[in-house]
Order: sequence, then C-alpha cells, then structure tokens
Amino acid sequence: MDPQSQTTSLQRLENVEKRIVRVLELAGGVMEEMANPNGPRKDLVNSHCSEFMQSVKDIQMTLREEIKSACEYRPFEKCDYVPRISNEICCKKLEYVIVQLDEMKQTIEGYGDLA
Amino acid sequence: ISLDKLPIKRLESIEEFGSERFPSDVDYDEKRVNLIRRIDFAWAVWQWKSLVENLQLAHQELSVIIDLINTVETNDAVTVAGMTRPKPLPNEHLSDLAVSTATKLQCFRSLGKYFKQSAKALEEQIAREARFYGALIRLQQNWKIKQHRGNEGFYIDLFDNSLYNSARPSMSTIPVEHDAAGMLTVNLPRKSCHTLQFEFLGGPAKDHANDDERVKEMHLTLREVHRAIHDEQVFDLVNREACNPSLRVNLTGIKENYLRLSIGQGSSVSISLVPSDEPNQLGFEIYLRQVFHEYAFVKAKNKNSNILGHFCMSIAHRIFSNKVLSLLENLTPYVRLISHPTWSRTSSWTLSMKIPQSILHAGRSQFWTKVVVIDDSISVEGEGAPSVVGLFKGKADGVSSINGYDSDLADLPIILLQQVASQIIQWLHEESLTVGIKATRDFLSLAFELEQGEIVRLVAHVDPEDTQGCISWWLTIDNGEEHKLHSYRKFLGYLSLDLLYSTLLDFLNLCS
Repeated sequence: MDPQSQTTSLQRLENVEKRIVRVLELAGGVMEEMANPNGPRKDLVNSHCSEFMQSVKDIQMTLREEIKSACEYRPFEKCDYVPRISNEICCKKLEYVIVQLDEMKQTIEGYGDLA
Repeated sequence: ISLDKLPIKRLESIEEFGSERFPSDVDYDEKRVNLIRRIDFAWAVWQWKSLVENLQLAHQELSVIIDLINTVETNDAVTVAGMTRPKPLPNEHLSDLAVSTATKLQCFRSLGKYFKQSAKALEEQIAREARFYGALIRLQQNWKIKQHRGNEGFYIDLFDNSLYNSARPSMSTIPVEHDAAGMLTVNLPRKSCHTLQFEFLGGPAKDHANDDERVKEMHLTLREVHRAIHDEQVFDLVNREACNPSLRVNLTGIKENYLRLSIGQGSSVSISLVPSDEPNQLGFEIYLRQVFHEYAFVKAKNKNSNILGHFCMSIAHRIFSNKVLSLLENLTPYVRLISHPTWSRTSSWTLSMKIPQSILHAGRSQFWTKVVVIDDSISVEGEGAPSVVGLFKGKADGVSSINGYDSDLADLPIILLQQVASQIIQWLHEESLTVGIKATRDFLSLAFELEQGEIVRLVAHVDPEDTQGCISWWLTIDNGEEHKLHSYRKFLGYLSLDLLYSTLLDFLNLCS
C-alpha cells in the first residue's frame, strides 16, 4: 500500500475498497480453476491464493491504521455563514459598481463620438 | 391346416319351390375380428403366463411385507432392530462417486461465478459511491452537511442561528438525494411567492455536464438559497422595526411581503420580497442588506438601534442630494463641479473657477466654494470672501449654513453664484491694490474713484438661468453725490476673468 504521507485518508480507504474487489476476483478465479474438469492448475491456484492472503493482510493493516488515526468529528466549530453573506453582499456591490462604470463608459464614448 | 372359403357366393340353402337363400354379407369390422381370431397366440400365451405368475408371486410377497410394516407401525408385537443397506455393487459405487464429483465441480463453478459477479457489482457500487461522496465532500467544504438520525440520508443546513435568534426558515434544510446514476443531486421544491424559484437539477439533458460542472452548479444554487434566507431574515427585521412607531419612519401600507414607508416630505419607498428572477438594480437593496447584516448578524447590536430609521434617512438624504446635484450641474460649465466621496448621509461638492495662466500671480490660483449636505441640511463654505449668506445673517464668518429642506433649495444657485461673484470681486480688489489703484469693495461691486470725484463701479449681476454666463457685469458711473443725478449705466454682459483683469488695467489708466 502507498505510504501514508503520499495519499489522503480518503484515497487510502478507496484503495482498500478496490483491494476487496480484487480479493473477490481472486476467490472467483480459484473456484473456477477448481471446477476445471481437467483439474486445477497448481501454479495458478498458488499465485492467486498467495495474492489473496497478502491482500487481506494489507487490508487489515490499513483499516487498523485508519481507525486508529481517525479523529473525532467536530462539526461546524467555525461556521462561516455570516462572513459568507458579507461576501455575497460585496459581490452585489461589485456588480452594481460594474454596471455604473459600464454606463459611464458608454456616456464617455458617446461624447467621444460627438467630438 | 385351414382353408379359406372361396370368395364365391355360395348358396346356403334352396327351398322347395326353388328360391335360393344366400348367406348375409359380412361387414368390415366383422371381417377384421375374424382375421384376428385366426392369429395364433400360442407362443405369447406361454410368456404371458410366466409374467402373470411372477406378478402374482410378487404381489403375494408385497402383501406380506405390507402386513409386516403395518404391524411394526402399530408397535404391537415387533420393532425394528436394525437395518442394513444393501451392499452397493462396484458399478453403483463408481457411479455414486462420479455423481458427487460432478456435483462438487458444479458447486465450484457456480461459486466462482458468484464471486466474480459480486466483485463486479461491488466495483460498480464503489464507483457510484466514490462520485457521490466525492461531491459530498466538496460541498462540505462550504456548507454544513448533516445526517438524519438513523443514517437515513444527508441534508444540507443553510441556517446559522448562532448570532441571531429567529425562526428557522422552512427552506433552510435541503435534502441530499441520488439521481438515477447514483450521483449526488440537490433538488429544491417550488414554493410560494416569498421564496426564490430554482431550476430543477439532474435531468437527462444534463448528461453532458461533467461532475465538476455539476458540483459548481450546486454551489451556485446553494448560494442562491443562502442569499434568499438572508433576504427573508432582513425583511422580517424590517417588518418588525416598521411596525414600531417612530418619528422618522411612517408605515403607510402593508401587504404580504410588501411594506410601504414614507420617509420625509413627499417621498415614499417600498420594500418587498419578490421572486428572484425579477432583477432589481437599485443600490438601496444592497445597502439595506448590508446595514441589517452588519447590525444584526455581525455586531449583534441592541435591537433598539433603529436600523430601519437610519436606512430610511439614508434614502431621504440620497434623494435630496440628487436634487442638489442637479441644481449644481446647471451651473456648469461656468463653474467647475467636483464631487467628493460621500458616506451614507453626507454628500459634498466643490465649485471652482480657475484664474487664467496669463494673469496668474503668486497667491491663489482658483476660487472655490464648498457645498456640504448632511441629511437634509446644506452648508456653504467659501474661500476668501466673506460669505454672502453670512452678510445676510449679520455674520462675517467664512462658513455659514442654509438650513432647510425644499423651501430654500430654489435659492441655492443664486446664493452660490453670489458667493462666486463676491470671490471675483475680492480678487479684483486684491489685484487693484497690487497695481496701485485705490478701490473699495462692496456687496457685489468694486468702486474706483476718478479724478473728478466720479465713482466708477463694476457691479456683478447673477442669473442662474443665463446660458451665456451666470455672472454678468454692469458698469455704472455716478458723480459721487448722494443724489446720483447723473448716473450712467452700461451692461457689459459676461466677462471672462481675462477681460475683467484688462478692464481693471484700463481703470488704472483712467485713475492715474
């Protein structure tokens, strides 16, 4: 698995999910090999099984790390809704100013045409 | 040996009298039956007989066993001591093994298929959830995401009641839902007139938009709702303050989501909450929001601060200062008009007139007069010359105010022009002293004494309506006596500062 410093916690967990999918595929592959009427190919079964075991170990390790390092979820300690509305009001002001400036520009251009 | 009868019609009998009697015709079925009767079943009867005997023997044995079973069942005389299976024959053994092996292989196969199908389904589910939670996390960076009790699903909370206690608006919680593809959507229900109208998201026509754009659209929508909530809260506060009687604000009309206020002499204003697709460009709308936001949400001041009164007075001031400005604009280009930055209830301008470069000496280079409006009172301040208004009021201060609203507004241009004219007179006076002419200054005139005792005057005349020049000049010559019997007046019209200065120099020649 990737070292912790390179990926975010969310990415590591998503990786675990992908690994689980892979593990299921391996199990399916082994079962299909066992159903082979000519008998299972030993090397294939061996490689699948060893990859399976290794993956399960990695999954377990990663999940343990993530559970240990998960911090307590403290929602909305600093809610920014009030400054957000201030910003919205500022945006409205800017839009208004821009409209005024556009009108001024048109007026100036109008005089320019007359000149 | 059997002989067929020839197929000749034989006589069966002849009667005495010669009538012949033939045998009756045999029909088809009868012919068949006769043929069947002629088959020899002797060999089959022998097999049949042994089969029948075997069956009869088996029937007897079965009856015995059935009787035995019935007896055992009733548990009267006999119970089962033990049962042994019949020993399987080798080929039976092998075929059992083959069947169980085949069954096991079948199980393996189906298990393998089950695992692979599960893997595929899980992969798809992970991909869907990754999109959903990816979008949810991006939204969470800006908005409060909460979860219903019991993990029933998420919703977005747009209400912040930490600073201001009010009822939670009905649209402040927005459910987070899945669309057909499992992606996150935010659907906003249509409501009555005092909320904004939104576009429904997540339709099939939006397939082309990638997730990034869709998250951005959701941001925009959430911003709109957030603003709408604030608008509702502002309107609620306005409503409450308007309904309290106050000297500065009169409530003259009230409807659903609509207030009409009168804010001074003859001015009315309405504040209403409308669906958001009616654009309203007034800066007052912005200002109303800002004022309430600052007081109610940021500083959380005392509710009795009468924010609405302040806001209405700002509007009243704005209306009044626009009137003042249009009067001042009429004086241009005779005087230069400069606007200064203003605050909510203060406006100010400067009127100035520049002295031409050719006659510029050391000293001042322009005359200026400053007009300041605070709420609805005007004050006029001029450099240099004593204020004309001050002369009216018996003061000689540099600054004087004109109090009033509307009634004195019509006089403002005249007062300002007289101020400017007196500044010009002041300047001419100073220049005449510089060049050595003895001159005296009066209200709006400059007087020179000639050798013969006559007094020549330059008199300023102000007329705001005059398009050629708001300040024009008269030349009067009096013989100096009280009676002014021989006076001569000539209207000089508009004179630029250049011409005034050269006129002054002419007087120099006359006087010396």
